Amino acid sequence: MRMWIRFGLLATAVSLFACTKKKKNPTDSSSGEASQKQEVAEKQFSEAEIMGDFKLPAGVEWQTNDTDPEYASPNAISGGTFHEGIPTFPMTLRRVGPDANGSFAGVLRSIQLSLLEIHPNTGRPIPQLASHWAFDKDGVTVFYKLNPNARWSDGKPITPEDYTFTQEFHRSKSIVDPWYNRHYTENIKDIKKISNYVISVTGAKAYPKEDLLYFYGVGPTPRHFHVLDDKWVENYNWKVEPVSGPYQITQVDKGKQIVLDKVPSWWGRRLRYYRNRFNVDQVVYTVIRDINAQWEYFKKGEIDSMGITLPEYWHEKSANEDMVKRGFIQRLWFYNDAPRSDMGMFLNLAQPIFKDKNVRYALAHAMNLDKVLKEVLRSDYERLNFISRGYGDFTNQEIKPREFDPAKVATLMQKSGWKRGADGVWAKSGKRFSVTVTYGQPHHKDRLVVLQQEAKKCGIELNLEELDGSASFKKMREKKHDIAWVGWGTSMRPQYWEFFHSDNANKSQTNNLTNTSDPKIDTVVKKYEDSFDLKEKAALSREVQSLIFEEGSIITTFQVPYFRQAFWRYWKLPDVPATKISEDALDPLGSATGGLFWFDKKAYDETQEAKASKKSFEPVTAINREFKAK
Amino acid sequence: MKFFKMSPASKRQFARFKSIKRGYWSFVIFMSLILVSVFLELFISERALLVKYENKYYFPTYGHQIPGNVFGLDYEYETNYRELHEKFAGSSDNFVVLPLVPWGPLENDLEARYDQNSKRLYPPFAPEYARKHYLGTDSTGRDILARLFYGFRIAIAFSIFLLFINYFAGIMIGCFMGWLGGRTDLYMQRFIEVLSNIPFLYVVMIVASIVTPTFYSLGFIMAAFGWISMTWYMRTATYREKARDYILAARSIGATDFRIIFKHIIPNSLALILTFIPFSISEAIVSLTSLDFLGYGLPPPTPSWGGLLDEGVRTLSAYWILASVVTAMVIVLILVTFMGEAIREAFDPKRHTTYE
Repeated sequence: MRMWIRFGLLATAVSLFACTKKKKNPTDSSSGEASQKQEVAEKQFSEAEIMGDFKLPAGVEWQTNDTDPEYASPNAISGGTFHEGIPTFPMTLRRVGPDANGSFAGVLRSIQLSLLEIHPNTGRPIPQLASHWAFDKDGVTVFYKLNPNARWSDGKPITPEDYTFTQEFHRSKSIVDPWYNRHYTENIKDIKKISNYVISVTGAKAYPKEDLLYFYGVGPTPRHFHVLDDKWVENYNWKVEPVSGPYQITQVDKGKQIVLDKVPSWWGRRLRYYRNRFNVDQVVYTVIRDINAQWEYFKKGEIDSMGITLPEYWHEKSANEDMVKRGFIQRLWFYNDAPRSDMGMFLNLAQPIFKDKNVRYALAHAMNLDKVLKEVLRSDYERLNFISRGYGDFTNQEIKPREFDPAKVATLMQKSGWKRGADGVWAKSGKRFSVTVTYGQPHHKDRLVVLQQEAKKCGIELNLEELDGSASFKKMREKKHDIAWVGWGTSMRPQYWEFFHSDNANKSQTNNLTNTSDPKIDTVVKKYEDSFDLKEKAALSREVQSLIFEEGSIITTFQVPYFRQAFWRYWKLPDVPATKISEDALDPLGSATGGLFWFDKKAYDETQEAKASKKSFEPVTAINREFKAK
Repeated sequence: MKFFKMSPASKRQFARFKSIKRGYWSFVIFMSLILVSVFLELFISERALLVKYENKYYFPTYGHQIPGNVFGLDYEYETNYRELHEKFAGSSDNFVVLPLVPWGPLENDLEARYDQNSKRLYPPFAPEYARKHYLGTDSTGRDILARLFYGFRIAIAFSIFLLFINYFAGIMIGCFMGWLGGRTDLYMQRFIEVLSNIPFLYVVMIVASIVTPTFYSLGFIMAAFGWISMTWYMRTATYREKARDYILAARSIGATDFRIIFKHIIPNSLALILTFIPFSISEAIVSLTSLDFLGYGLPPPTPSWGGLLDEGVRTLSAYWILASVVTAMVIVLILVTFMGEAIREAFDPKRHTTYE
């Protein structure tokens, strides 16, 4: 899971050509004094200066992307301070090493850019720190032409050495982070400086071309900032690293608050895909430990936006809130279309009771997920048909989940020779159908107790085991569970080897929670891994899904195909308020989806005045279906 | 029951206790609550008390579940007696007698309800007389009254269980230390000091986050730290009694250590032990409730006051949840405190003992 959380953020680059071509852009809003100064500093680089002696191998061409639509609003203006609540204070400001994978890691990672980014709406690569890219014929190497104007927030230029240092840094034992050590040794084989502004990245294994950019995407690490020694972990706990992105941490009030300021004349502000974005001057993260307390702060206007996807918050708390009724706080329901998290119940096939396929099918038919959807989740969430949803052609749309059906449960159980005992639970040769669900999210209790009661009617005793988040995941990874109730992170393509290949079955510390070990599945998964042709790969992906469905080891549960949010009315959003893969319309930082909103001073003054005078505005609840999946 | 044979002194103490009206009635109410909770299924349960069907009588309350098809219903799972009650309402032959509150503590009543504007309502539901949710339901439609009482039963059973282990261990170790004295006493004291410096709540939380605690395992974890305070008192009491003349007399006629401890020292320290009992019970209830509140107590869906409290705080708009559980807690703790006061008063040695 950790791997995929990280991969999602390791996306990739910046455009010299895009930059030189658009000499003056009328929609560029940052025309203050600072940018005029930058105008002078921004040097034009000739092709020779960039390429040095290097020539691409014959038949290899530079590629870029300056034709996909921009998704920021030309009306955006800069200014304002954006306040957000965070549940816990980070244990460190390092991006790697012990305790670095906490909830604040997302912020720390998104202020550091990569070579390329993925266009959130088209899914195609777009320039970020690199302007162009080219695929070498060996199938594992990609050349990147760097944007020579790219600067660290301390003014130092970002050089090819910063990229080669990325590898040295992540391979170093000083950072005490085995995951990165392994990733930069086993997956990313080499990062080489080719000439002044050209580098190459070589991966371990061939992928289809687009996937190479994604799986072997890297970013620079400020070489002038890090001293790799035994004390690195301690020394760099609270040091603020120079950033390549638009915001830099400027104040740290330990345990309470972290403030980020906009980097003055950020080098990327005029690039296509980045202009008119990152409009606020300052972002303030305040620790508010409890979600209820966060809501109270939000109502007072002390934080500016809040995610209210939970049914209770959307339907009750926000709907009944005076500030919402009076139009001070606006609400947005936005359907996105990102790959869906594989949320479900993963049956451990190594447990004797689950050796029988009929029993697994029976369990699936005994899970009244529809009732939970309708009665507890207010028909708000949707049933997740199966794993790997939202991956386009890679998703097998024909799979429909096994529905709740007590009669089918009875038929299947009888077929395998089970009988209902005196307590109403199925039994066979002294063994009862009593299984335990291990989960780590306390707020899922409401869903599980309903499932439990319904399963009882079908003659299945479902015991609930609630553990602390990390303890539950540990138990699952040690394969000590009966049924694991989890949701996995997503990736650019469905991943099967780590979840379903026998290489990872019946072993501790792997993600194959079902202990699937089937030669037939192995063959298809292997073929899928080795395929370079996207079409063939997609077909194999669909085949894997149907084989796993047939096996009955996973009962998928719910998906949330949208996010819901509330924010104060002086925050303005583009006409299409978020992107296809956004999970937060007022994310100030994310390099693919963030920074689209802006602060409207006039509306702010008007709001403050109205607050004092008991005036009201038209309440706003917007529902956006622009990207709703069919 | 020679142990409890009333000596004139005990008789006086009991009379004194009875004369403290507040404490005595608290004791009576509290004992009745315990009695009710022992036979709780007769008052609050999803199972009917009595079903007459085709001239046969069924008593479903205790014992195995009776599947629906026994009563001519078309399912094999446990009969829903409320539905059966409605079905038999018209007929004179068949009938169902339901308990006062026909809801179990684990049952989800998710039947659709609508407000006056025919907007669909979702749990938690406010108290409704028609469906016999006298204190409303929680966020998954479970009856609050049922959960309160079943939670009380578990809390009381838990405290009594804990009380026994704690007092047994505490009294044994305390007597042992006091009686032997010297080195044994010294080393044990140091050991206990070390142990009592371990923050027990943290230990319970750490353990509970790794393995889901059960009734007994939670009891034993808490008892591992709970015996300490009783030990100190018993150690002192033993030292005190040991120096008395009657012990010397017993020794001189050749009574064994064992006999002296069990026949003389413990019975003579009984007053001390008794006065602590009510407070130990309230302490155990509060600990269990706080652990449940923090999510480290007994696993869901066990009905518990801590769980209800947590839910009440999370959904303040459903005021009936928080109001019910807070009222219940206040009542029980007040009863226990009144009882404790009265017992302490009744056994006050200043009234009964004269020191030479």
